[in-house]
Amino acid sequence: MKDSQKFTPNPDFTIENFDNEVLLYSIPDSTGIYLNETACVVWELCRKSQSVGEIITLLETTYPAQRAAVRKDVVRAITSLVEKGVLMAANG
Amino acid sequence: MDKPGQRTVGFCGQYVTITYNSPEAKALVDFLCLDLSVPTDPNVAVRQVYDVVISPEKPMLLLRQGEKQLYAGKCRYSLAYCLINEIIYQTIVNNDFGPAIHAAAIAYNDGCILLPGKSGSGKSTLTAWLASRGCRYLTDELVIISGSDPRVYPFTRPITLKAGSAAVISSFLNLDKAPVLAGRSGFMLPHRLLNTHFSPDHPVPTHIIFAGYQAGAAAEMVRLTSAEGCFKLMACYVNARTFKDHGIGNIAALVKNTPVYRLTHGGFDGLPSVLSDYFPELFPHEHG
Repeated sequence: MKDSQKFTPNPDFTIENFDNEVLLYSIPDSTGIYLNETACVVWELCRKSQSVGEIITLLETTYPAQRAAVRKDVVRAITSLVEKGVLMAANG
Repeated sequence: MDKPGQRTVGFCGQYVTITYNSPEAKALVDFLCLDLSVPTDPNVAVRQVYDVVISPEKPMLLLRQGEKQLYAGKCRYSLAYCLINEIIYQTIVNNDFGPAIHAAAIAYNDGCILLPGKSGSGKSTLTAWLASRGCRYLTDELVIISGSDPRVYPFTRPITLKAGSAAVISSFLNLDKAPVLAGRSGFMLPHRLLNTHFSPDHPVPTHIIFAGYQAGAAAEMVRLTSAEGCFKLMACYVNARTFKDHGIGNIAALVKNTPVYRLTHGGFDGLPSVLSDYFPELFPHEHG
């Protein structure tokens, strides 16, 4: 996954916010996707048009103690959200 | 066909009529639908008419919907099971009274405990056990949640159990002389065996518990986040397609206002020590 790559939320999902968590629900498929706190942060940053690299940098700055694990966690979260159809690769 | 009587039964504004041809057939319909009955009113639009026929000739029992034969055989339990599922379908399909949740419900104090889960998850057995401890049985199958409060509208039917549950139920209820409707795959118990003072009620939900049996597991009750609770509850949401955006906002509002738990247990023996913290009046010897 390239640092310059951007992902965008799938508009088919309805968003329900709960404190630090989010539940996404696809009306066409009648399926819900639960996002834990980490996935929720990544999804929210993708929603704000941040690239993979920008998300990693932001989280490394915010959580310096977990710096070593941030890249792996972000890539894993994005991969999982793409597999679930929640995020789509943005054109350009 | 001889039709000496009929009952109109319904749930949250949707009704069906059931005709019966004999006192025996009436007794079967009453056993099944007593708590769903409404006064017969020619102005009430019924969605379907079902005929329950018990005759001495073979086949002895018949369930018909117009020209369609839904059951023919000798097993009262099988006919009752088929009929109650028809009633559930007819009263839920396109019903916009509120979100319908596949859940058992029991009243406790002034509120109500919801036990959502799919068929076979053990909710009927747990519900019967909790009713035997003093909770008031409301349903083992389905509720509609409605109103801004919100209130629970239970689909009250006999407690319906798998055949394999008989040994467990016998550990806290004497089934020998109970008027049980039994078949090869399961049996139905009149809930008044456990609720001698039953009265219809629409309490506010105070706890939502996703219970699961795991052989050998120690009893454990864990609080879920609202998002986790909403996710799990959506899987038990029966009439989502009736509502705009599938009514996810209604379910979210419910879990934001009601604590949600996951209960794991390996049998009823371990439950009092865990549940007494939440429902002290049901387990006075455990609490404190």
